Amino acid sequence: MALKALVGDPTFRSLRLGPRLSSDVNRKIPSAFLVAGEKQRTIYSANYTQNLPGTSVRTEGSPDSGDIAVDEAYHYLGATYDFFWKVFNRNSIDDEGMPLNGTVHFGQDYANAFWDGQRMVFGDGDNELFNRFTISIDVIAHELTHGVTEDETQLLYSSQSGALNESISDVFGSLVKQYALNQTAEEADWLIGAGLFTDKVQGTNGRAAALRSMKEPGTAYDDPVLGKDPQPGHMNDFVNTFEDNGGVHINSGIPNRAFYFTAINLGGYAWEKAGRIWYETLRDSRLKPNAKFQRFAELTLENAKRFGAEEAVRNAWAQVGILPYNESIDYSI
Amino acid sequence: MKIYFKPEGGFGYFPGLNKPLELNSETLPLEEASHLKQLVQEASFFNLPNQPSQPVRGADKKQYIIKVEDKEREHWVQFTDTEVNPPLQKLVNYLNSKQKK
Repeated sequence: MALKALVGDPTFRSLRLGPRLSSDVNRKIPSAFLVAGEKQRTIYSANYTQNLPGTSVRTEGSPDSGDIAVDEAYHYLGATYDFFWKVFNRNSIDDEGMPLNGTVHFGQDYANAFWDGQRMVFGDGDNELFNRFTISIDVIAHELTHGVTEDETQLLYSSQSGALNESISDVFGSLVKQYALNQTAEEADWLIGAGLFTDKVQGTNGRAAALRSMKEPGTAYDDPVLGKDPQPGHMNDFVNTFEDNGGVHINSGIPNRAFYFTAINLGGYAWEKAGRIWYETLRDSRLKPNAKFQRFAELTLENAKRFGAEEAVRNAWAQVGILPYNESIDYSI
Repeated sequence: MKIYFKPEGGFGYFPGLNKPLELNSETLPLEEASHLKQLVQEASFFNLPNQPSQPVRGADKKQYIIKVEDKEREHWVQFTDTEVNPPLQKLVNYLNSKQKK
């Protein structure tokens, strides 16, 4: 009960300086008529072009369309909305009931999914290496979480702040999947994008390939065409690169693994404490757009205090080579 | 005509899919070289702006850099998937398919 009350605590939220997301997004229903906890999904089809948003093919409350990409996008966006609402009392991407708009069938053989600042967009994959990008619930939740992050902190999409941005999307992507499957931290596979690759892509250690492993970064795939999963799991292996916006999808392995260790250290359902600590950190007004791993770790430790989880969090960051000394936080900022 | 192509970004970083590609029309089969030149021409490549005028928003978008050298001319463009330009997308689709081989 006390934890639930804390989640709704607007103390830090009201201190935010950044712009809100929803101002440039058209609402179908005026917000005054929306009830918190009621989602408003619209799925569009780009009809194999790259024109956005495409044509509307499924709206809130309508039955399954029979188009698997449309229906997966609808259901998994719904599951993600429900997760944020039920676990964190967050009302959609902007916490003000922002409509969830997803576009499927984007481009030709398009092997990607992205957040464009207003909507989530999914390709059908090339069917050589990639299946359709709506196939994995954590991929859909990952994209929606980019919207949440943009609304809360605008973490710069480059280098360490960009890797934090990516990691936060992986953390909540994985939590949405675990919540949907009712899995504890010990039971979860901690993979991102399991099922997204076709059978042609080679995994490691006898496992099917996935995009990333939060538990063991660098082991998700090892394939002649794709190459080897380049993610590090420790600061000793941090990758300095100009590629990938300064390695945002590469070095995210380090904070991903810190979250995994936190969840394992605390045990039980990862969303209950570990997820809540990360969520409160994301909402913390002291988290600046140019934050690096060290600062993020310090703030997770600060937020862990409320949940009696400092030791679990400190230990987790130490295991990836980051020592978040609490006393280094400048509370005057 | 020489073309340099570098895809980047996307939902993940896959080393094998982010390698730069260089094509020289003089070393391609005649028919393919002609197809490539046509794609460049249809995209009005040399008239495209180097970069989008608006800052790129969002996350996980793919980005592409294409540079073309043709006789005395040389031009490069950098853009993302949300660039609405079907002829340019056709050129990217062709280069993507070559890059994967």
